[in-house]
Parts: sequence; structure tokens; C-alpha cells
Amino acid sequence: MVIMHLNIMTGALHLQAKNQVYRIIEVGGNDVIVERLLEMGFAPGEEVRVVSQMMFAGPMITEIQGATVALRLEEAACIQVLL
Amino acid sequence: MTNSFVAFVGAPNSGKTTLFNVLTKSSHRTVNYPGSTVDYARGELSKEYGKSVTLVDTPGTYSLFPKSRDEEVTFELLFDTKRRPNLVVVTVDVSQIARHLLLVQQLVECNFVVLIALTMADRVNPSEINVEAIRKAFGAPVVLVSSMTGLGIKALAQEIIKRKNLLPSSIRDVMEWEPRKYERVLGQNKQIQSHVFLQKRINQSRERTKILDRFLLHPVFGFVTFILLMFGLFASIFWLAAPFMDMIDGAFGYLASTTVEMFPDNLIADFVGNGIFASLGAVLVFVPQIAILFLGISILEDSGYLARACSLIDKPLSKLGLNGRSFVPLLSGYACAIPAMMAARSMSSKKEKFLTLFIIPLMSCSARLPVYALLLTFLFWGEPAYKPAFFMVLIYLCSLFVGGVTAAIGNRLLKIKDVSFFIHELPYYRRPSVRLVMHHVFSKTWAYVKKAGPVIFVFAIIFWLATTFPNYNAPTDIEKLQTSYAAKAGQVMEPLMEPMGGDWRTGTALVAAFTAREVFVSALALVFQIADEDEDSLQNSLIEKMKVATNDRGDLLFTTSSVVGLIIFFMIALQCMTTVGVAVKEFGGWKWPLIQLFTFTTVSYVLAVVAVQILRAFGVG
Repeated sequence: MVIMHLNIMTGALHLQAKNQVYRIIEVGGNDVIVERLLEMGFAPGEEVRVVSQMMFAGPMITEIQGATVALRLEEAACIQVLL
Repeated sequence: MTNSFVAFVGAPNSGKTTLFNVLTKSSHRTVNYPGSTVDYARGELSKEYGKSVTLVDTPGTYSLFPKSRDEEVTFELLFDTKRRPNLVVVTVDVSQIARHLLLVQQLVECNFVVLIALTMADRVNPSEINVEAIRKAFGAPVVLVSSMTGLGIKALAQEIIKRKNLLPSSIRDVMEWEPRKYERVLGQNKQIQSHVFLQKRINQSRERTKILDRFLLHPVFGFVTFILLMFGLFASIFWLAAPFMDMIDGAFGYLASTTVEMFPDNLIADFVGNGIFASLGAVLVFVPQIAILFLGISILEDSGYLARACSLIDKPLSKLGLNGRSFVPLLSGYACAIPAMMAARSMSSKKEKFLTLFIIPLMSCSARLPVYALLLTFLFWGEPAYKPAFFMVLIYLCSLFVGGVTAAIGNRLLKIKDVSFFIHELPYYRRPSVRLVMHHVFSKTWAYVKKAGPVIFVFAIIFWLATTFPNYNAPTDIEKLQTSYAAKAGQVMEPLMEPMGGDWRTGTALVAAFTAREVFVSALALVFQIADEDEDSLQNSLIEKMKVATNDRGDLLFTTSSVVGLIIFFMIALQCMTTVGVAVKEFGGWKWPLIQLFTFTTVSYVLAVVAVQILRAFGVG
């Protein structure tokens, strides 16, 4: 999903390619999940890197502020990033 | 608990528990929080630091907004109005400053007296670190420490002693944090972080982790390595442990038979030999296997691999209604269900936690090992060793399959709506500390011996009495046994045991096994008076006796079919009362543990009977 917003292209993190760095624009969705994501450092303005993707649509491995964090695609979908 | 105490709080993998262990010299114990079901580790600051201070370790948490039972424990401890901590030591990983300072900020906002321990100093060059920026930002003392090298530990202890009697004026409730606030605080923390490092440096642990992860988290090689590692772990339980087990078995066998031979026809010698040595030996013999399993789990956990394994297996587990986080509890279940159930506290989703707790007793715990070892050795007596080994692997896979099917059924039946998520931090790889791993292995193994030992001892006495009296002067052992109290009690069981191919002796041994599964072996050892045999090990004597044992009609008692039936029974039945006790606590009530006890035991009995009858119908003895 690509949304045009003030000429800025954004997209959900779970759709993004490996080995690229993205800037987080917004974190939204289920309250508990959003809160955990924020606590782990996935806050707007931060940079996140997609490291790899597990087999069979398993968790996505990401890097946020020097930490490696695994998250399911459903949770990655809560994170909107700048393209 | 005493009035004044210091709480240790910090994010998972921030080195909190390791630091706590170093400061207390690992002499702490798990205590129950008064009036609740919450457990936490409590210990005293080691005497070498001069003053006595009570330290409390709490489960790791990222924030003061709990999302799992574990995190609630920490929250409840901090905000208990009756017993407030005088000081909160927060652990902040020096390589994760910006993220870990979020918790510090929340604690400071709630008015706690905070002391910041900047951990994992061994990952940096201490001379390049300036903690001043953190101290200024939070108005709290900061100590750079390393549990590995011992750096800063003494200074931290002194800072704790200085502040052990402080009390904040009043604790404020936690205010909700909006996303914007996280954004702002993280931004500030990053500023602080940039001031801490005097030189821009390459984080070596991070680089090493990246390289390793490229392989270990690879979509294909990652899975292959995972399966090989698990296979290696379980294989080592059998191959590595074997020589140690033979040693223990031989030693106790010698003790038992020597005692009986030295004083023939002496009742007390008979009790010591047949009762105590034989049954204790039957249990202690598999201590090496437990120790090796815990050794493997500790190494995998401390090195940082276990967190990766959780991510690798999250998808398959989620199909069964479980979570990647179920992996550690389930793996621990192969050692013992009790610590395994407690490990499930870190799970957030109630449904996933329930399902995990429900199937943990189906994992092939180490208490089943001696039973399987005995039964398989019996089945493949005199045949090459790879045969029992192969069937042992098969039993393990079967138990995994039964657990998976049970979880899938439970997933359909259980109507709990809640949020399932898997957001899992993967720590940097590090070399596990030999000292800490050894401590872990020793304490877990010792806890097992302490739990099993007394139970076995008491049962040895009861069993010996029941199998020896009232007719202890009988001319033959067989007659003594057949007229004993145990035989009379067992006869009530006989109608139930018949379809399984057993008689009163297997029945009584099975009932005894409900205190702890391993008692089955020692009970058989007692029923068959194995110390009288002139064999070089207990197991050989027991198997010789089992080979010739017959029931009232003169048919062989232990045949292929009846032994297979017993294996199936042990695979599924919930025979460990300690597990039921822990389950009551972890489920938060009697309902689920009773359902577990009833269904597992009934299903195991029915399946065992069906297997025995089918095998017999096909002409297998």
C-alpha cells in the first residue's frame, strides 16, 4: 500500500525490501502492540533497517538503534515508513 | 520480608540478573511474595562489601506498562504501597543506552530513588566513556560495571550501601505515554548517548553479531542449523551421559548387593540394600542426563542463540496457537515441567500461555528418561545399542507430535480473545561465562535432586515395609512378596492393569510413579528385590528379574506388548503431583490442572490398552 501524503511516499514496513534503511513516520494499530513497539525503540523519526525475513512468512528481523528485533509481519505492518 | 530493600529493575538482556548474581555471590533464593502468588529472587549483598543489604531481582521489563505476568510482577513489586523499595537499581546496557534509558525516565517520573548501573562495560573501552551526561540528565548516580570482568562492582556496592535507607517522598502513579512522548524522550536519550561515547567507535559485538546472524538467521541455513543444534543437544544427552551413568549405576549396584551379602537374612541390611541403595541409585543414575540438558540450554541461552531460535520457530508454533516465546518453556519441559511452567510467565497472550502450560507436561521430561531407558533396554536386551537409541528418538518425536496435536485441538476449543504478538529482542552474541553456566547447571540439577531425593527416600521406606511385611520370615522371596501388604493393595488395581498386560506389581509401581515418574524404576527395583542378584549393575539385575517375572497364571509379565503399553502410558499420563501443584499456581486455579490431570491420564490409559490389545491380536507377545 502506497499513500500519497503531502508529496511524501509512505508504506508499511512489512512490505519493504531487505538491507535498506527506512525512517519511521508513524506507528499505529492495536494499542498493546503499538506501546510495545514504542518501548522497543520503534518511534517516529527513528531509522529502522530490514535485516532478513524468516521462511514461510515468519518474523522479520530488523535493526533499530543498534538492537536487533524480530517481529511478525502483522506487527511490522503497524509501522509506516518513508519510502 | 524486611522493611528495607533494593530492587533490581531492567530490560530483558540488560545484564540485570547476572549483576544480581555477582553482588549476592549467587546465594539467593526464590521467595513467595506475602499474600500473592508472585515469586522473585531475594538475596543479601555479599559480606565482602561490609554492610548487609537486601537485594531483590525482578523479571525483566521494557517499561512500567506491563504486558505479561512477568512484567506485572515487577510492576507490583515497585508500586506496592506497603513495602516500597528504598532504592531502584536500573540496569542499562552500555550498547543500548537510548532505548534502555526510557525505563529510567519512567522510574524518575514516578519519583523513585534511582541508581543507574551501566552494564556490559566489557564491550567498550571504559576510558572512552563519560557517564556525566546521564548523571546530569536524570540526577541519579551512574556506575559503569561489567559482571564479566568485575569492573565497577565494588563501586556499585558502595553506592547501594550509601543509599540503602533512602525513601522517596511519595511515589506518583505512572502516566500514560503518547507516541509523541516516546519520540521526544528517545530523541533526548540519543543526545545523551552521543555524549557518553568520547570517541566514535565500531561496536565489535554488534559487528560480530551481524556476521553470525547472516548465517544463523538465514531463511534456509538458519533452519538447518537450528535442527542440527537441537539434534546435537538431545544426542549429547544420551552419548555424553552414558559413561557417567554407568559409573553411578555400578557404584550403587555394588553398594546394594554388598550390603545384602554381608549380612544375610538380616532385616536391616535388607532394608539398606534393597530399600535405600537400590532405589536411590535408580534415581541418581540419570542426574548426568539432566545436568547435560541444562548445560546445553544454559549455553544456548547465555550465548544469545535461544532468542534467535524463538524467532525461527515462531511461524510454525503460531499455526498451533502457540508463539515463538513458547519455545523456551517447551524446551525446558524436556528437562523438567516445573521450571518450564514458570518460564511461560514471560508470555503476553493469555491464550498462548494457557496452551503452552497445557502441553508442557507432554514434553518428555527427564524424569521419564530412566523409565524409558529401562523399558527400552529390556526390549532390546543383547541387541546393538543403536536400536534403543533410535526408539528413544522416536519416543521424543512422538511426544512432540502429541503435544502439537493437543495444542492444535486446544487452539480450536479455547475461546479466549486476546492480542497475539511476537516482538522479540535478539541480544548480541557473547561467549557464555563458564562460571555462570556452571552455577546454573549446578543449581538446577541440585534442585532436582532435592525435589526427587526425599520423595524417593520416603517411598523406599514405605515400599520396603509394604513388600516385606507381614510375612517377612517366609521361606522364599516370592512367597514373602505374594503375601505382603503391597500385594494385597495391588490386587485392587489388578482389574485395571490386566488390559494393559500388567499385574499388581506394575500397578503399584505405576501408582507410586504418581508422586514422581522416576519412582517407577525404584518401585520396580524394590518389588523385585534386585540387590539379591549377583550382577554388576542395578539395571542388569532388574532386567534379569523382569525377564523371568510371571503373573498368577504363569504368563510372562513383561512382554513386548506390555512394555510398549507402559511406554505409551508414560508418554502422556500426568504422573507428577509437583507439576499439578505448580500448574495450579501458573494457571491461577484448579480447573485447568484438573482437566490436564484427568484427560492426560485417561487418554494415556486408553491408548496403552488399545496398543497392547492390537499388538496381541497381531500375535506380538
